[in-house]
Amino acid sequence: MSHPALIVIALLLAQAMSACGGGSPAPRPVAKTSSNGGGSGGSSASTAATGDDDDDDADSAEVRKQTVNWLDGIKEMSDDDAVAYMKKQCGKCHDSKAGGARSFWSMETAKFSRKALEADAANGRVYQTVVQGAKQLIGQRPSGMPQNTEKWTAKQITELKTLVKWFDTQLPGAVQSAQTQFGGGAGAGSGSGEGGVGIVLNFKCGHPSTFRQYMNRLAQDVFSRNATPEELKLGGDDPDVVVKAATRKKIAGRLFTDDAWKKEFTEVGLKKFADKFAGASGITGSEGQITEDEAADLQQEFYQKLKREYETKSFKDILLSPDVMISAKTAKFYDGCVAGGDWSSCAMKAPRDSFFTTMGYLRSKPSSFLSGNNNYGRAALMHFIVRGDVFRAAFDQDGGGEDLQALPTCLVSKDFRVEKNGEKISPFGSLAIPSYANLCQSCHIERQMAAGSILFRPFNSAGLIYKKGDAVLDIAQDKAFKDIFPDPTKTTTDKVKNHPKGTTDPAEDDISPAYLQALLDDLAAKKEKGCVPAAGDDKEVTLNQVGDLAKYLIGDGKVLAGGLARHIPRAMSNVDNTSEEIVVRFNSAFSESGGKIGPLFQAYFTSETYACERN
Amino acid sequence: MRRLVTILTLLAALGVGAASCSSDDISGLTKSSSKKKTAKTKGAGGSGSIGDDDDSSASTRTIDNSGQLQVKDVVLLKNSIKSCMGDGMTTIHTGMLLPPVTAAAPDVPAPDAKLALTQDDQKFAFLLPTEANKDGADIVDSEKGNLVDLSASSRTSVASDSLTDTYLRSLETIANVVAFNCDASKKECSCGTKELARDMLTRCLPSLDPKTKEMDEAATMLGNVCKKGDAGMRKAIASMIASYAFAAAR
Repeated sequence: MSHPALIVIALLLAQAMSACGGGSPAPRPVAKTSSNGGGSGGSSASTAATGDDDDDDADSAEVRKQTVNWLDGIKEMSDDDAVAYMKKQCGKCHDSKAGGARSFWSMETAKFSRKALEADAANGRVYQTVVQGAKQLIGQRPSGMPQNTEKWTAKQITELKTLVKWFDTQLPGAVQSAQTQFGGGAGAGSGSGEGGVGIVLNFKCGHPSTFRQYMNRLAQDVFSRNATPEELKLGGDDPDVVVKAATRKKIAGRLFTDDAWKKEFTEVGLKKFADKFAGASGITGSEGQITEDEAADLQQEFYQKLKREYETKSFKDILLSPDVMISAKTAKFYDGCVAGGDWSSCAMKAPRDSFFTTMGYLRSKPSSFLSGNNNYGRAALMHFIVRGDVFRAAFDQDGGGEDLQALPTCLVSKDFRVEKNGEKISPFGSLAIPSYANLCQSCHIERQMAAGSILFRPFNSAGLIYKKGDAVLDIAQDKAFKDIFPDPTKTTTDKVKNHPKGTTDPAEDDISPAYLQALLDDLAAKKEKGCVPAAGDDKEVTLNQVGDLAKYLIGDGKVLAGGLARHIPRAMSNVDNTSEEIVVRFNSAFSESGGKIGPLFQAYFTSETYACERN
Repeated sequence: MRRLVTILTLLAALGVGAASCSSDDISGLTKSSSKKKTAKTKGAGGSGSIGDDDDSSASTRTIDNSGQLQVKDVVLLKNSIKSCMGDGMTTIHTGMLLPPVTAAAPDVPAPDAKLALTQDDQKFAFLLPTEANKDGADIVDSEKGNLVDLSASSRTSVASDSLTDTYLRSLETIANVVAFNCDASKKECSCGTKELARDMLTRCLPSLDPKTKEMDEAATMLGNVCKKGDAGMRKAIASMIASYAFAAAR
């Protein structure tokens, strides 16, 4: 039967939202020079919001930042020049199609733009490499870019500094991201707090929404419903006037001060965020290990934790906490945990130690050391959770020059496994991949994929802990194990070999079930371990379990704001980008609240970005 | 400053409904569609300056966070229909279901079919019976696969939520169920005058300014169709629910 007999009229809402016409509904940071910056010494954070929101006449988020002395007298590049310069200098290596020696930052040169860079979760790292290039620093982490600037002429360096100045002035979010990841010690632009010329940025939306549009959008994003007639009156007598900053602040604040709204936010909006953040839709049952009913409760694990603690604990503490929320159905997954009531908290035991080793996290990203993925997905996901950074796999690519860098000596493992398919060899062992090419090292060493793959070893694809001799949890019962050793009477396989002799030496070792078991046992005995090697002023960090890596990545917690500046818009508004304004606002709100997440929701719904028309 | 909404009223003649509207109605409404309205910036502080600083100094920047028209996901759609038309309006009832078709003679209703295609109360059976489309089921749940389900999207990406033909066709099916569930006695279904129609549009499309000329024209149109008996009321309501305006979110 084709179609409805009933329909006659269709009201078509034209894209008047093209309202923002041809252009985009966008908050615009307006930079003005200010006289208040010189020698102020400025705070290292340097981009504290100035509280303009209380002023009805100033519908903008004003940000003050300080540049640093080493850039005094340097002129800022224009947008066009900056984009062109980066395309030329960075594209040589980083271009995703034609780059000569690509690394972690894949750059789509043809599409590269200021906007693309603003939304790029790696922009803080990009900025930091340029700073270190301009300062001609050698041996720092990350490496200075472009390469070999220590051999550049003064004119070339001055030109590079104009790019740094451009970042400092126009991309304060990227600068802040660099500060949170790398601190200010190594010359991070505005992070050193040396004072200098003050720049005031006012983010303004060119085509703001009316209160009606704003309120309805907020109700839809937070409560998954339309605004009620009563709510449409909260902005004043006429909901069809432009929504002002002070009104937005009041409305966003109401989420946490009005009992009914707060309850609804907690039950709907917070859950929406938690489910997205935790990958709840991907948490499924596993035959013989997790029933669908149990999986349904595991989907709620992080939400229950967040609901219980988001007002009282920092987001850092929530992620690093060894306590997990359990129900009657999920308690059995955690050694020593007994359910009490609907949901209760229980302390996990090693090797579980943080959000990243909960059943929910592990099951949302199935992998194991027995599979070809070797837990890289789980390790990469940690970066995404913390920084919003998505790694791009680089299979079958030119891995860079022949001068392979030696692996860090503090990274200890005998996992050089390769999968063999005829003549083709695919390395997948923790140390096998970074042993093949410098390109691989950019993620597997610089971004701890090798360490992560070692640390996640105790967990199977369902998230359960391997247990020798157990009818279900012994590695020999694992499907991936059976793929390697389909014949239980054999102790060698042609499918997987160990290849620890270096890429030029064809010699291979057979692997056996005992070898695989030893990979587990040696980690428990700390004979295998991950690490972050020392570099510059940074000391070596030893990583014995997943929580160690989590602590290293999260640091003092400030870096989480950058990740949340991507996660919150994605979860609440289903939009896959962020803005400089949101990054800056989040950093500020996070810092002022001691790292709690509630104020970030307020910052998001107060922002000019959010108040802009969407269509 | 260019902003705000133009409501294009499109008369789409579908099925038997075409007879309900004259071509004059169509042309009149189509004309109005080209008009645009500028947002007001009245009030203290008036933000009149916002968007006016188009001085092209090198320091003036634009951050683009725009997207395409986003449509309601299943949860929002369900809640929107509830606030618009009341409880239980997306429930499938037997009378909506087409008679089962026998494999031997697919074009002929089975002899034991309980329902005729046309009934005395002007309701039409229109829904193909499937495992999901059965008495007591919810049509939004049944159509979930054709809609946008944000809860099922992965954590590293966003759900595709642009307006598609599939979405609109599914929305039409949902709209027909809602309309079928409407009776004249139900308060939320009353739209037989311009005022009642305006109330309905205001309630069901809360993100649109009800005081615009376009909304006024839409209310007139909706009221005109709606006042033509139960069938007219159902046509009007189904059309409103199946519109782009209703589909749009944020």
